[in-house]
Amino acid sequence: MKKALAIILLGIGLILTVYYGGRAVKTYLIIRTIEANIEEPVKLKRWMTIPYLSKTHNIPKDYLYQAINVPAKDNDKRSLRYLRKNYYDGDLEAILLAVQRAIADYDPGKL
Amino acid sequence: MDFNVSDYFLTGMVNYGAGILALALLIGGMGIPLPGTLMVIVAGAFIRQGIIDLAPTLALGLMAVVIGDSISYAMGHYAKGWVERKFGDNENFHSARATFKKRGGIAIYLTRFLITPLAIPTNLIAGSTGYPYRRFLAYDLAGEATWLLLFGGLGYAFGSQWEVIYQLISESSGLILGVVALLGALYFWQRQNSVI
Repeated sequence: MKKALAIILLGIGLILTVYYGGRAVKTYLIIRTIEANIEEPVKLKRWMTIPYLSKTHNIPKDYLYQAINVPAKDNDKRSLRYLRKNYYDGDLEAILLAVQRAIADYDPGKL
Repeated sequence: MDFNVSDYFLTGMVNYGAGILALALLIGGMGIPLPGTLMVIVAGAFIRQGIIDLAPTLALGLMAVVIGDSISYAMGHYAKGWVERKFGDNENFHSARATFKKRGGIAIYLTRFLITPLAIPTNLIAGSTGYPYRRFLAYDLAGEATWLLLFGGLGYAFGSQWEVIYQLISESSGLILGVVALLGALYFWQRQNSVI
């Protein structure tokens, strides 16, 4: 019984150690290259809201709403995931692209 | 299917702050699989970005996760009768219970932040083997505080790059579980040989 248990644990242990060990080393190598980018603006994700992006990119939220053609009213707590369903026919790429463009085009001098 | 629990909790944390983190940690502590470590890392990053505040996040998070763990301890406690009926005659069960009573504290502490996949089973074992609740609570508090400070601190330190650090932690957790399994194999192998 103990021998069988030892063999099962050995198998599981080897699989987990090799699989996750390899992945962890790979990720560690990536981390070494990103240390300089810690203060970079966040990458766009579908869970983000317009007020969150406004704060993290230091851009007025009204500008962002206007730039992506979404009304500001009642949408402050809505994620991009929700907004794309209601304003972009479910096209995630399209809304992410629109937000990306709006952020890139932002010029505080123009406002 | 376009459903991702993490997305809902992350949007919730952006909108409602530490309360959502606390809710996720409470549910996770009760044994419902939620990405608790992810939430803690993101909370650290959000603190750096000025989205949420440190003190309430830490206080609410710690309180919630300890309550969650206590609930899973209680589940084990109420299953004690069933466990006794099922394994009461088994010598190995009594030996395991005695060992847990003696050295369970370190298991409780380490499974809070180092071998997190084993946290819930440890809570259930602690409750069902009659491990004293006060001692459980003390080790649990220490372990969860370490977890929150360590991973929240990593999220804070890595800021907008938190996703990569989360990936590394998830992989390290799998790696540590693998090492624990190998140590377990070694332990049982030695015991088998010592019997012979």
